[in-house]
Amino acid sequence: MRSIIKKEVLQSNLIAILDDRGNAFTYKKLANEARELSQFIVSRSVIFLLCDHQTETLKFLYKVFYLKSIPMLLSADMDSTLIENLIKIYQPQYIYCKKTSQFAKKYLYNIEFDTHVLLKTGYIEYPVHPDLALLLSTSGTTGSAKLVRLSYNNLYDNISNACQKLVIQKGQKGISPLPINHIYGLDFCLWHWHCGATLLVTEESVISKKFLEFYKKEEANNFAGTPYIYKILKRIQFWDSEKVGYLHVAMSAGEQMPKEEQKNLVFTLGDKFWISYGQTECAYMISAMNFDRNNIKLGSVGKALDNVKIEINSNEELLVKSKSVCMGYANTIEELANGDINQGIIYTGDKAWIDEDGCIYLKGRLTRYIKILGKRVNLDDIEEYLRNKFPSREFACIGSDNFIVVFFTGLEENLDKEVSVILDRYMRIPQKFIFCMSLKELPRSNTGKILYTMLEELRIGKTGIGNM
Amino acid sequence: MEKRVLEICEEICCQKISADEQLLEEGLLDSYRIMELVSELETEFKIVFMPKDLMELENFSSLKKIVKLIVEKIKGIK
Repeated sequence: MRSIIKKEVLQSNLIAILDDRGNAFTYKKLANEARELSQFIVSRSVIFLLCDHQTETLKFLYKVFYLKSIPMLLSADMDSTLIENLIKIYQPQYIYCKKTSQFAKKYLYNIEFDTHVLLKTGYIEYPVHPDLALLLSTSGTTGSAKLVRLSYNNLYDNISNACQKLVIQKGQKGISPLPINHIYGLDFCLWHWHCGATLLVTEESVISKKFLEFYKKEEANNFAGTPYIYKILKRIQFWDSEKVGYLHVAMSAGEQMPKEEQKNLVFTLGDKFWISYGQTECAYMISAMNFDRNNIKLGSVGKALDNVKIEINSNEELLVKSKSVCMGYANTIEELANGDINQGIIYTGDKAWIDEDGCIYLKGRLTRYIKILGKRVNLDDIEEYLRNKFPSREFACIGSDNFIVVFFTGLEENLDKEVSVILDRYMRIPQKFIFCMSLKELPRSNTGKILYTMLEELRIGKTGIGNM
Repeated sequence: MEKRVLEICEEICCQKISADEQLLEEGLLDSYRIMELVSELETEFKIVFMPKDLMELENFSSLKKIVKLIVEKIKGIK
């Protein structure tokens, strides 16, 4: 099993984590703490980590990787019934959460930290593949039980190549408001730890003065956000010449950035502004590019990393061949013992084209996954969730980046409002992105399959939602 | 005005709220929702929030504080 962190970094006195209260933790200190923690964790156990942006959580995450236990990263904000369902399916030996979490009342304390606790569930260990390093949900927002199985080699390969491309190195400091239970946010942490750089940690909102003050005080070099975060930063006039002065990389990913926004950022940040594209199944980064003010490839998501081979198949689908491609998926605990099924090849489900310089341009999706504010959402999961909530109704969802249209049967008043509120409250999909339409019945084929193409036509004909 | 601000806040927070409810502490408003709220309030009351108004998150910590900020914007104090 390969360590994700470079060997020379693991026992160094370089600072791995620095928070906004001035607490600093060296790689050596974290290694010592990890060894102490090892007394409380059975080797190669599965740990559900309910993620927030607190120092304690980032430290714990580092230590779990150090000890080579297998974290499954979930948002601490996720609806507890969804988490309970995942606990039932995957029977983790431990759960890491805040002491105030409802799970802290349900399971035995194994070890206490300052504000968090590691709980012992009582589930016995089961076989997991020796290469398995990380489990991430394919659709975290909806609590999907379908997990991506990533190996140490997948992570090492992707992170080391990303660091090489972005020239991340020790001495640099990075800060990001991205959630760490998403691969992009997690990778940002791992890029810094891999090279012995420092991760700046704050719980403050990106919009707050405190975030800005911490950023300025520490002169952060690297930043990662989604297009929406950049929109917020623009609104608060975040990027001034002082901050751009010590900036090394400002990365945008998670969803397509409007061309005009992209152009503005290139002119503000110059070649320090990067766009990247990736997927959980590829341990994140597939392509990346910074921009020359005189030659802006507007709309492109960059060129493939050196270790990534890309092809477009006859369906215009982007195909990735790389050592970073995940071992496969899991839907049950038995499947956590499986080896590498993908063998370094994955169909991304994204339609794309490549220009003469090798720059990738995304054209849409072939799969039922969409992105809302940079978070991947499986439309099938939404349908299933709504069917369970309203068993007497039928639901069908279509959508694209940043909108979902929910079709339901029946003409009951207020159901559309109720659906929007439920998806907003329990799945963290803001109402602004949800549109509802009632139908007498869902269009189906002779074999009973929902005809999504007809729903798509209905959407365009009746609402124009999503038309740019 | 207070009634309209309450309606907008409830719409964005997806739940009923009281005048003293701690919107940030209780996690009802995150950065995304603050921006949504700001946009709605600017349109509704024909005001413009400055970057410093937005970055002082205390301004959005409760309904009372939000109303106070809007009144100041309308009067041209801030």
